[in-house]
Amino acid sequence: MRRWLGALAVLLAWLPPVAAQAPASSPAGYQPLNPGRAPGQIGRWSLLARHPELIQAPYFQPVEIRLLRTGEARSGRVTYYSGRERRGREQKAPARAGLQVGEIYRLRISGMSDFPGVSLYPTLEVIDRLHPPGQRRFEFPVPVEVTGEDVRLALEGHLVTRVIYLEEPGLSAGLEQLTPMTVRDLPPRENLLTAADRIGRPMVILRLGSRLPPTARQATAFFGTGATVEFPPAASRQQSRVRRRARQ
Amino acid sequence: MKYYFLALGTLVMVCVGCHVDGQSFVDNGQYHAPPAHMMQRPGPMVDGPGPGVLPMQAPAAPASFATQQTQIRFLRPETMKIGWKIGGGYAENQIEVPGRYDFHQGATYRLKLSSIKGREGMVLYPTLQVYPAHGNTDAYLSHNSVPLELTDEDLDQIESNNFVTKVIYLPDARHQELAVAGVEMLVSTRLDPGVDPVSEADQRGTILAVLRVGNMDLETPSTRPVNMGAVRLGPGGISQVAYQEAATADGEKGQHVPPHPIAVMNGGLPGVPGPLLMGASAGPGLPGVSPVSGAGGTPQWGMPWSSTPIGLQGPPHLPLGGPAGLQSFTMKNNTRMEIHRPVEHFRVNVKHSPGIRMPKPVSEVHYSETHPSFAPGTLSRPAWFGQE
Repeated sequence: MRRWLGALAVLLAWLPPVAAQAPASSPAGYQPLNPGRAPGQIGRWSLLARHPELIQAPYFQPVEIRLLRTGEARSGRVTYYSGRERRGREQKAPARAGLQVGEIYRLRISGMSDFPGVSLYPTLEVIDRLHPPGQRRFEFPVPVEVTGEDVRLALEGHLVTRVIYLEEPGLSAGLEQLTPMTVRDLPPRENLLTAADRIGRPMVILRLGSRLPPTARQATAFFGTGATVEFPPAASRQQSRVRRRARQ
Repeated sequence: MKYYFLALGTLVMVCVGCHVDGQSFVDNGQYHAPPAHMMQRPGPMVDGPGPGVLPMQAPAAPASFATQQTQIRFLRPETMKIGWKIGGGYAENQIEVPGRYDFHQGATYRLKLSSIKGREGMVLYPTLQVYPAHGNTDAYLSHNSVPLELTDEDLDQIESNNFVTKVIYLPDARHQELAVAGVEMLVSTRLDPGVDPVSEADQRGTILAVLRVGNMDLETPSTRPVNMGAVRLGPGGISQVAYQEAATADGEKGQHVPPHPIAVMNGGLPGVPGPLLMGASAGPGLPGVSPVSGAGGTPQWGMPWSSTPIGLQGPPHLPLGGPAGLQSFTMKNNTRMEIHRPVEHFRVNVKHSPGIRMPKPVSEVHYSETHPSFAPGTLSRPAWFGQE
């Protein structure tokens, strides 16, 4: 009997304490991607890991830039820079364009009557796509809103980052899409991409600051990677106008 | 007695689980990747991308918006003129405050500040150290300019012979108070004595730029000729014509010249990590010495640099056809030395906890497809194909 008890004591001494047993694991896990870091990286990874078929056959995801509370309605202007020469094409806001999934683009926002003489150069990184009916994709753009508050913060020297995501149907409250969109402000220590991924599908990242293009050197590199922009055909715009009137 | 041990064994298993030293006896479906530093390098003492960061399906493009320039926005004092050092001289009046300029990163520039409002005759020669972009600052620097200003308090400190260091940094996310990212500034004169603003800022976040200002005049009559490349023979003596005329420019006359760095931070060569670079910088504005022999200023193999104590260059290994004049050179070292033989066998026991466990590689895939089948005569065609 004593011999058995001795063996049991040895066995118990050999086993480690309870606290040291379970391997430590974080429920959230390690997140290598962060919108606050290298711009363009998330799009590139998304293209490689999630949409490798779009490397050979690029998809141009329509987006619509809306300027809210920046002054008189339709006073703002948006310029998309496209192609190897980074040729700019200016449009009145709201401005629609098809941007290549996986790419990052530089835009110019100007002509805001509340901010006379101010031009800002945000970037848009397209990380995912929608699946609308083929011929009607410009009728379902991803809305990207820039508010007067965003512009004010950028002019004060802050970097404003917005992650626009598609709601997960199972988590959606089923409410009508509002303008302005519902925005959740998160503290900087939180990873915006992780937060958006938890409740939907991240589509586009907007980063807005106050940096202006260089006066002479490396001006081309400032205006993007040289990816092309697809603009909606005139007919599509007319159609959407007719639909909007019909809704009114 | 048997039941007693069974109950005791069950109790032990419930209390301690099926784990020993962090490892489970049974498969709980958890995998542990090697540590991050092992994933990033191919092996010990070897730098470069390792298997953990190799591209997945296609070569990953470099960070497309990784900017190599930092836009500095000079805010105050207004109407101050900013020039900078170019070669031997200064380009004056290149910017008027408020203004901005894009400086190449990883370099230090000598600025010249003049026409300071309310400080007639004051000319300052600060240095501006622009740090290279970092993963934490890349997004900020691609979208924002870095604000820089000299306040009245700073100028008072400089006039009273104090050295002012201003460090602009992007605080770590955990130190940021607002919901949006913004830079902060540390000034040496507002810190406790003995606190280094650079190391303090380094602890709080990632440094973007450092401005160091004193009241030293770098264009006094005694310093000017040397800077201009001329030789002055004795006090008030004759200035010889310089081989290279000092470069000057004046922005008010429409002459704009980019600044020349006075020092560069070791950022590495393309494709060569910084820690592997040998030698010192090749000069202001130039990258480090290329590690490739015979390229980029590195001497060719076989050409000795050391000279003999009799004033002659050491015997070259490659005489290139001519007989060597020096036939023999002997140097005897009489120093007593006690140098042990190197260790022949060395053993390091390494253990990771938890251990590394990767999923078993896929060795077999079963793939099956189910196709619709039609009876003869029931061929289906798309509508646009037309009917027979």
